[in-house]
Amino acid sequence: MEKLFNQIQFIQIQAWRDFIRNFHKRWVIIVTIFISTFVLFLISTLNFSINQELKANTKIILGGDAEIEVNTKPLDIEIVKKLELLGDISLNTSLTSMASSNLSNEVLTAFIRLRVVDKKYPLYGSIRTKDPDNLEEFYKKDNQVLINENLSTNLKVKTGDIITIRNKDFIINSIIQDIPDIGGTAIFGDLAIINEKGLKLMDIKENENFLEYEYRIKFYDKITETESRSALKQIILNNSDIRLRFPENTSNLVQNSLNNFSNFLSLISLTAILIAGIGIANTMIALINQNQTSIAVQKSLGLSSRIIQMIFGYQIILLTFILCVIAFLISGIFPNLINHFLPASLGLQLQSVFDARIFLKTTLIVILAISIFLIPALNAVNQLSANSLFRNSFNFVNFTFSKRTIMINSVLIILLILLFTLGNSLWITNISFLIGFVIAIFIFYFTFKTLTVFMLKYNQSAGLAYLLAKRNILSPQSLAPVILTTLGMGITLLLTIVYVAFSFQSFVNKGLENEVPDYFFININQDVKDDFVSKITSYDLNSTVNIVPLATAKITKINGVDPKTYIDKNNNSSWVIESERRISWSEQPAKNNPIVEGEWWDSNTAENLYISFDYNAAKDLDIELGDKITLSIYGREVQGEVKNFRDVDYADFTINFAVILNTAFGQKIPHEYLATINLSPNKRINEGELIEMFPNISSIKIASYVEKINNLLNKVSLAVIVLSLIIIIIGFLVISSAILVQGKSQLYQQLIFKILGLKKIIILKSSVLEFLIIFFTTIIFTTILSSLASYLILNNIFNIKWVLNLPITFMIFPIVGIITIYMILRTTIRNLNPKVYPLIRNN
Amino acid sequence: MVKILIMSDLITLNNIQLQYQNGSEVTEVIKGITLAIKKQETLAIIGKSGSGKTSLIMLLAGLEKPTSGSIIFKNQIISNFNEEELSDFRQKNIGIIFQSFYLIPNYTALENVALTLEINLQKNAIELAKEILITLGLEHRLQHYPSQLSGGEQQRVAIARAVINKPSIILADEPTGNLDDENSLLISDTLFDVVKSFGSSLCLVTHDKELAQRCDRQIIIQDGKII
Repeated sequence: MEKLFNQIQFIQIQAWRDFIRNFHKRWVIIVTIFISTFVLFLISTLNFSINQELKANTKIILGGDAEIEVNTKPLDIEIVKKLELLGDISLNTSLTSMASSNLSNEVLTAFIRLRVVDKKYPLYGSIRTKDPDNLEEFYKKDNQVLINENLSTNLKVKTGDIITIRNKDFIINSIIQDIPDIGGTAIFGDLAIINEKGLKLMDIKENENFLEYEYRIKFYDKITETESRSALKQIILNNSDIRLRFPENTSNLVQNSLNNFSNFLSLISLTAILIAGIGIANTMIALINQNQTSIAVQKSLGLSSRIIQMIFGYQIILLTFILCVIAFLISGIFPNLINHFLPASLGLQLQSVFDARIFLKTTLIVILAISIFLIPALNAVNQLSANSLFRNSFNFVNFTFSKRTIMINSVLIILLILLFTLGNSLWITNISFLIGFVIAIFIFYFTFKTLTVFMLKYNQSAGLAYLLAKRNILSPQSLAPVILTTLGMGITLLLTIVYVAFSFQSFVNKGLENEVPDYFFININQDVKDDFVSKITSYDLNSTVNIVPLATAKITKINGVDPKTYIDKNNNSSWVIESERRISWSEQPAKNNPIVEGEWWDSNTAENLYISFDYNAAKDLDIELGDKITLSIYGREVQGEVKNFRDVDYADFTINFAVILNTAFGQKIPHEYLATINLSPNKRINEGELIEMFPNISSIKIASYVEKINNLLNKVSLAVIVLSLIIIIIGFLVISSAILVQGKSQLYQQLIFKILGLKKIIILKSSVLEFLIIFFTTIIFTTILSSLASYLILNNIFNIKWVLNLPITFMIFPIVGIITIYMILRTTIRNLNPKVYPLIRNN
Repeated sequence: MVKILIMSDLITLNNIQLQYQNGSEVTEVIKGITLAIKKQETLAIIGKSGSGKTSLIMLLAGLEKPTSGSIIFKNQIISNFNEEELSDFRQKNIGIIFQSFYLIPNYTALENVALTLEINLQKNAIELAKEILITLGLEHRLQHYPSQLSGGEQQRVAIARAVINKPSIILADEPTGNLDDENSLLISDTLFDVVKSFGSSLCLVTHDKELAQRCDRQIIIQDGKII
């Protein structure tokens, strides 16, 4: 026991002494650990802070103990009566409409999301307005409206002013500061809230299909919440059109996006840590090589390899721990700063977080990740022997994988995966990602093996520089596999981030392309269709009006079976079968919806129903060409055959339908029209006049939505770009560690070359050639792996289309190549500059 | 008379001085040495540690530039050469043997020796390297790495590397300094044999009086001067 205590004390003293004396030499390790650790802490802290904020407000965010989604039809009165036995019911009705203001003789208009709330709204939380005293009046009178800040700015109105909605005047009761049950509209759009009396004033028939209904319930206290929930589920058991949402599975746009985004950041920061681990291990190998003589002397004095390993390991773990503490303290204050970047309408107020759980979990993750690479590096100490002092011959050591190391590392990897994925909703993605990381390391290792086979087989003579480079790569003690793996992993991570960032940017930019319509118009009845088109044309003769028929249908069966019986609710395309969807018909497929499988129908008869289906949705729902799909159209069931699949990109802001029918059949269905308008530059439509002429038509001004969405997405893509920069720094630190690992062996070899009379230019050429052989070998695999990783991230986490960007790929490689070659040349020139004299004198 | 002397001298050092500047402190290592080494001559440099022996070797090899004075090799003033010219000079004319061998650890014995020829772009480098290693009794060690060789074997590989190019002069810095008596004898025999057979000159730094006595001429250096 005393011996053990003495040993620990000895290790501590030695490690501290070495650490303090060589602090300045460990800068690569310090910077690499700190950057990657800080990113991981920052992500964990932000994630924790956001979740804490959301968790504290889940009922307020949902607006009740449960939300009952029914879409475009109100609940059956019998169901409502049953629900009223369980708790207070609040009904919100929403519609898209137009609002105008007429102050100072200027008519300003805006397309708004109009929300009609009942007396019980809100069940949880409260409406916060600029004039809280006016709120009582809002519920009492029929002509009161609450508007959000956006609308107030767009219509240039304030409290007490009058705005017109569907030809009725409303007095602005106040400006909304915060409302419960936030959603996309509150963030991006113009929002107005009126009460039930106001809706009656507008004389809208309740069964009009553009009205959307949302019911929320607040359970009575007389029974437990669990019992209430189970009773609620019983009531809607046999009604497949109704969906229930509870606070814990609130999946509004914001929360889902934040979760996905933070998960992506966590994955990338973990990868950064793992790659930093490779860098640290490389640096450790370099340190061991540099300290060969002192290690051999220590061994000759009776120190075991284990103790020497512990002295090195202790330093790294101690350093990691100190850097974790610093990173934790700095990252803790960040949530407060982030508040400035979050849209106010999100209603999130993040707090600084200094939670011990975050510290413990993240520190453990960092230490585990670093240890996985550190252990085989420290094992290199075993390769050194005190004999080398007598024989005067030193070998440059490399990573060592004994059976014991493999066993320990396997346990550490499992622990790391468990720790990282525990309690994470995207654990399958995370595990796959980590397994992918390990596979990638093996791929690069085997790439090296293939390279050696190739170089041995094709033993062509290509000059002295090539011969020297080849000899270094093929030598059994070669560090080339380490350098190739490090480079490969570093560049893969870099490219992955760049691809993700680029696809993000491309997604954002898509909204700014010319094809994005200026307006979307819905609820165009057949009798006003022609007048509407001619009115639009009168504003701009060169405008493009794309008008398509619109009906509602629901998929009830696929090949005779109700798809809800076998399609999981989490299926990416379950929305297609869940409730009624808008459908259309067309003579030809749209330009932006090219057919990817099957053919457009030849015969187009009113008797036969042919269906063109969204390709991705069809794959998700296991629909094949020729399958029979039963549609319920206004209560009548008809069966049609799937004739083709189209590539539909719902993010392009143009008209997109999952289901398109043949024209002859479609025209029999009662329908209205949907139109998109593209105006010539500098042309405008008179929105006020349009409201007066077509009071029932609703519209969305796409351009303003796109701009607002872009603003948010730009912030997201800025975050990705900042992350990319951090990863680039880590990438280069790791690449520099790969060069460092060659350090002493390179210096030694190059000095001997110099003594033997080898010209400087040949030495430089051979160093560069050695790197280029390794570098070009990695190009194919880094491109494939990063494409695959970014594709999986974009598809599984963000649902954003992956965009291959060859120019970026071709740009990244030369940049990495040139910078690395510069670093190699710099090191080599520095190696060749010192006078050979000290080397010769055994210094 | 003078002309004949110049022709038979391989390398001449004229009033060479070598100083090192360390901050404000100037250390004078070589203090005006004049020396000529003839073709095929063997010369031993003897002296105490720190007397300037190895510095003199470095000057002869073109690895150091004198602070003043000139070094003439085959009528060329090599002390005025730039780095590239010096590399070329070493490549073609000089073979160096170190006390600590300085073999490249990740090269086999064969590759270490072949390297000298490869640097000179000789085509059959490996075959010639194999021949000389066999001559030096290392046929069973061709594919071994330095760490797998004994001290004597490593020094034989180093000798092979230094002489395979048939240099005009071989510079050896304590070639037996790290070896036992038996190996010392073997190495010195080998060294003198190859020098003789290749017609090279030899400049040997040693503490070993017996080894020094085998040379045609001996000079003693003390405090940077020949005495």
